[in-house]
Amino acid sequence: MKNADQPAYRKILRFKGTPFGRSGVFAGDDHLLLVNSTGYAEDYRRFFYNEIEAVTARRTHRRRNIALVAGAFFLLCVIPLPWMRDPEGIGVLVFFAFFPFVILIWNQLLGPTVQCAIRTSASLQIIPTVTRLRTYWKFLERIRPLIEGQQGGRLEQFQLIARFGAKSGTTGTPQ
Amino acid sequence: MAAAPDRTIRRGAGKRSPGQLTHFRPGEPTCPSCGWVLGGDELQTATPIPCEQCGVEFIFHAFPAMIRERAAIRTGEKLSDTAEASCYYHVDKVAEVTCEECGRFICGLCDLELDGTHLCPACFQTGVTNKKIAKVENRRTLHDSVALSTAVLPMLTVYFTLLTAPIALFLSIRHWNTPGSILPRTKIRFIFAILISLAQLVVWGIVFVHLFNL
Repeated sequence: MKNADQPAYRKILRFKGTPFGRSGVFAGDDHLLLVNSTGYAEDYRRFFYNEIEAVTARRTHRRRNIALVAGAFFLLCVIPLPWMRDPEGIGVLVFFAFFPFVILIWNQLLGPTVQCAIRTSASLQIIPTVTRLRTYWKFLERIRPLIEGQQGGRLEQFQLIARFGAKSGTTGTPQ
Repeated sequence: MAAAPDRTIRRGAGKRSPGQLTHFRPGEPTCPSCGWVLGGDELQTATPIPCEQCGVEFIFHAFPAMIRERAAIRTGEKLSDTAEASCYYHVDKVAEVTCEECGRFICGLCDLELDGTHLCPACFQTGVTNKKIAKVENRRTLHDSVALSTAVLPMLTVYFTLLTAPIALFLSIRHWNTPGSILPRTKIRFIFAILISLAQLVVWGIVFVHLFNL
């Protein structure tokens, strides 16, 4: 049996922690590689550039949920402060209020949360590394030239309207 | 008058891998949240837009494969002349190529092409099972991480290292040449595992020598 040469990969999105390990996206010569790692084993999922039909993202409530939890912890630590007389107690509460405050601010700065998926003719696969809208745009900007290079150019909206119709009643004429 | 497009939600069925969604319809753009069929003007948007069915905001960036006509599935040509070679697996179909591994004649239905190499289903399956075809491998064990953890983690209890140090050493030597991650990776974990386990064995050796001398 011929042993295929080890394909060379370059990083598209670095490894990021997920509930079940770490996940990263890498680009090969003719496919994207989604790597899910537990630390002791890696699972691979390949998406060939000429088979990728779309990259989608949908907004999730994760940002709001993180803000609610961090905000609740922050308030729990801050609300008793006016009634505190003990300087050591105030110091402890301020110390514990600091971490949820940082998470709260950081969560807001990172922007809206999304769930990203790659769609082929046979599947719709979630990309666990992409959890923020701006990561989605970064991801799309990096993989778009690779996919369009294999599929022969960019797909414009008027082509999609001509093919699938328009909900707003517009025709598929070029804009 | 043209019939209105069917925009009902249809969820797929069958086995799926982790992280794989099923609510989409092949050949049609659908909402990534609910599977509602979208119009062409709802795709390629610069900002998220709400789905008119579920209200969840989404972005759908399509590529040319979305509107490409799907290639006809190769089923293999029927055998019309008995003088023609037939497929090893389908005696009623014309052999189109030979398997480059076993040399069997195979029809268009059985031909599995991988990087220009034509394989029959049996050889392809053998290659997948024996992990000889890197391009279809979907799981690999990271033996270097296993060896390193075997060497390091038992140090928390100290006593277990007497047992785990030789195991870590064995794993490092046994799997030194076993293919690790598909991604670029050095052998530094193996080296650390060997050094740490050797150090543990040396320390245990000193302890035993000291005990017996006493």
